[in-house]
Amino acid sequence: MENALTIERPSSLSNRLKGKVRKYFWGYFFILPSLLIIILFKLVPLIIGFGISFTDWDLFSAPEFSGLENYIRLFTDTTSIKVFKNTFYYSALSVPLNLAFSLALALALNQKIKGLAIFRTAYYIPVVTASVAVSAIWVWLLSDFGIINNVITNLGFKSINFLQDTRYALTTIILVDVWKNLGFNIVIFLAALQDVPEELRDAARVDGASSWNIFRHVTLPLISPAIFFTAVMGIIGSLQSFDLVFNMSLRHEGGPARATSTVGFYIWQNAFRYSKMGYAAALSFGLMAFLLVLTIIQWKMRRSWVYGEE
Amino acid sequence: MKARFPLIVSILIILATLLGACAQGAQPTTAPDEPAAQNEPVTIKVVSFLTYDENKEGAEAAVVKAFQAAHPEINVEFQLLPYADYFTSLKTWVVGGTAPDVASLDLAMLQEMAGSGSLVDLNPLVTSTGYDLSAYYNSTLQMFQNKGGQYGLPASYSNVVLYYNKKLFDEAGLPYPTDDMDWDTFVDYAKKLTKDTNGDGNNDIFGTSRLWWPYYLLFNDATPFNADATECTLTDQKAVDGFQAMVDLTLNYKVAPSSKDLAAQDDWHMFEGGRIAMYPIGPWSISEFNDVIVDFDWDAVPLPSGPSGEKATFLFGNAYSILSASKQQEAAFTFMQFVTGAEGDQIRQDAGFEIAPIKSVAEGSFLKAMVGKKPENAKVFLDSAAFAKSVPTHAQWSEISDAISSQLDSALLGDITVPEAMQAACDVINPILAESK
Repeated sequence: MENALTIERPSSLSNRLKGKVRKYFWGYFFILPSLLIIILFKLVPLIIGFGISFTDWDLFSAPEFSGLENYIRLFTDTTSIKVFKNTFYYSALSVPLNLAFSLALALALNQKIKGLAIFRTAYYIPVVTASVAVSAIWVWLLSDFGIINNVITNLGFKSINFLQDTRYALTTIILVDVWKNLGFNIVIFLAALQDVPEELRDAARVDGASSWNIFRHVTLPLISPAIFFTAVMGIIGSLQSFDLVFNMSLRHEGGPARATSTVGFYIWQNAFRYSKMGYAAALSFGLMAFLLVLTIIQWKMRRSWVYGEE
Repeated sequence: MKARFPLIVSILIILATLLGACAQGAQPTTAPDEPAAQNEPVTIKVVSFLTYDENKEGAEAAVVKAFQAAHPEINVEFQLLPYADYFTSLKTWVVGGTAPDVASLDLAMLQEMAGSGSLVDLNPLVTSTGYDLSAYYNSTLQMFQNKGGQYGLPASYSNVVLYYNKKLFDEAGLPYPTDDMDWDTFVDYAKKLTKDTNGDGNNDIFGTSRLWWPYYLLFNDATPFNADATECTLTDQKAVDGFQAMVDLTLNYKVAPSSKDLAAQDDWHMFEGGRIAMYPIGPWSISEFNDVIVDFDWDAVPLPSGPSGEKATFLFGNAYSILSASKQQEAAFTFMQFVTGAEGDQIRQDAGFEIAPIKSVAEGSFLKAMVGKKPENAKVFLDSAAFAKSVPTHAQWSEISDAISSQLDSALLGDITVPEAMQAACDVINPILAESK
């Protein structure tokens, strides 16, 4: 028909444009719903939030422009420095631990053992459990009368005040976090492990490679894209940690003495307890910058260790 | 995956702002509020958390219903909400342009909102309508003042007294506490009443329990900051001594449950279970304790005087306030007069909710309603009003309060000393004070 003719004969500029519109129209049409949602719920709030970060706003009265004051406070407020340190520790501990445990468990679950489906389900249950429920149970388990301290005291040691001692509180919450989110990475690793061709392993075995060497030089490189993905997601998730801190810290205050306050938690406190929307927005952008830098570093480094990215 | 709560909520708020703006634009402009337009009932929106958490859901709704019957010309859209997240919701509505006309507020909420100019000063309305404020206890009115303005009318008040478990006193062979108990006697009793019943090295029955930390400032006549709120005064000897007395109860004398003990069972349920001998608590406990406690007899005395002889207790209160955004302020004030006045107070009081700030209701009904209920010495609540003090207020109170309580947590664990804790708290508080001018 005529349409076909115009596309085949891109003589004038307007015709070329028409052709392009035709070519891409349906593509854009189909992504429109998600595009709109992203613009409305992510991009627009992001821009508004960036504007808010330069103001003093207590929600009740109109925002007042305050220049860079909120960003300067990011670096001078002792609490903000403390929460950034806590958050860094949170990621530095939870991400490697999570990867190591989930990979080990995925390897175990990749074997042909009895009751595999039960184990796979069991490890995934904490992921889908509401974190309020997880927190409530762990607060009980870890309390002075909980089963963990019961074991400790029966072994003849003094009971440990896991959640109210500044030395242990954050580490305890991180370990619960690792436990809760293990299953998510296990599923991803399992999928990746199943994609490792059996022939490659067989070939290595025929060549006399030990099982460690097969893992190190065949399996691990082949699942490195999955490790990369889980590491990036893990760091992003852990830097935004909020729910367990809120639910497990004493009186939901991120204590004792700020020991368990993360940036995500401090943002919430500033926004909804202290009515400092501007500072909360600035903290969010500080966190975003931190995240961006880390992600860029990871992205650049992937060439040196992720299979298929060299 | 992580719950991204802060992000979600901030998006909701921003959306609410946008929608609010749209809604305001789209709405046909309503006729200005004229008293002459009598056929058309004005509608006011009221939100409240009063009586929600005390299993007395009916009481506040009954107050509104009674108002509705008495004032058919004003239509009330009433919403009762739980206390938790109440303030966050209120802020969201204010930002979204869907603020209620009238809201119930506690002291901290009220002072924060008054400080930011989002509440109506009621004094002009009081003058123009000739409303008589002398019916209220003066201290309950004073709580809700800010720089000379009256930003709310009290709907309920409460203070804290000392409940004691008679059975535990009898078992220990101690005389019951008296109205004029001093601090040393109190600590001495507490020590004698604390027991490790199963011999595992941990106390199972405690002499007493700790109060919310501001009490230990109030009872030593100390303050967290100076009068014009420019400098943190927690490092002053009075404040340090007050908090030392608090820390001693848990850490040194071990007569009050530590946060570790409280993690397993809170003090409220410990008292119900007969595990606390002298329990400082307010009238909101009356209805549940009368229902639940059957194993032992109990009564109440005023709180003991503090280590330096100063007698103090908390003065808590909830008010109704009109929001500045309200376009129906006159109707709102009519509503306020009713619900915080004798009629409204009477309904709340009959339901057993805290104490009425209207003198005639409190004196006439509170004691009458208490007949046959415990504590037998119910007039202790009215007597304690004489030395009740309200918690210090500041526009940034929650931030200041968090700074103090988080340091006290460490002091209560013995990780740091009280002076160290106060120094650390001041290091956080001073910049907050400097910033809020």
